[in-house]
Amino acid sequence: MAKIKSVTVSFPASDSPDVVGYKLYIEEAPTAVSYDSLSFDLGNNTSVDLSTLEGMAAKKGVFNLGVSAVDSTGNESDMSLSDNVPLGFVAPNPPGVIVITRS
Amino acid sequence: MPKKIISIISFLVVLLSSPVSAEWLQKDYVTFFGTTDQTITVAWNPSPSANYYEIELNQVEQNTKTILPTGQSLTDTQKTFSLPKTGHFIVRVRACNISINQCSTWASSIDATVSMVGSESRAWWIFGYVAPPGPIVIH
Repeated sequence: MAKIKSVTVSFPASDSPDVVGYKLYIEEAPTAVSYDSLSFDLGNNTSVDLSTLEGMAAKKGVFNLGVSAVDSTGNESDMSLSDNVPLGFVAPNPPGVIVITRS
Repeated sequence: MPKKIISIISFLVVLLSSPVSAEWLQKDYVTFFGTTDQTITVAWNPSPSANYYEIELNQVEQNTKTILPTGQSLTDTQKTFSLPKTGHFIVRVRACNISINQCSTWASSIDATVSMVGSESRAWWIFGYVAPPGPIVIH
């Protein structure tokens, strides 16, 4: 099985007192990330390995990312953004058959 | 009894996006917007017979009232604090006297007869958004 390089996204926690979790939003560039973009609930985690997220497998390209904080009533903060991030979770084709030549 | 509550607030002004009943929004309140990691300073006129003051925050959407835990130590005529959660907040202040163990009625920030914005008599409230996380790091 191919080995996919991990890419970790991390961010400092929100300073709001009633934050219960975080959301990660991903959009393929050049479309700006928005609250309608593909999203992942991160729970209380402030870092995540993108390669482990369902739906990210086999994605390759340049992406815009955003993270928001969520409070106990479901309100979301503005997003912290990171634009034009090159990501690739597709392994290259393997080399051909190994040939050993004895002389 | 405190005569005037004066807002000294450094929140940024942004567009309102929180659901609040039409009854509240029809009022002519000055709304101070910010995030709940920011601090707010509220000031009021001194009451001659007061030994200390109490501040109450009324969260409008959930109708919860919280008195800041200052006990009898708040003798200044201003207080800096952060909002405990998101949403609209009304600020109320009252003057208290230890020797007679009594407090005045509450002076409310939505009562334009006792509230001020700068030098103008205006009712006001506060809206706090969730503070965003810090900048994204990718590695």
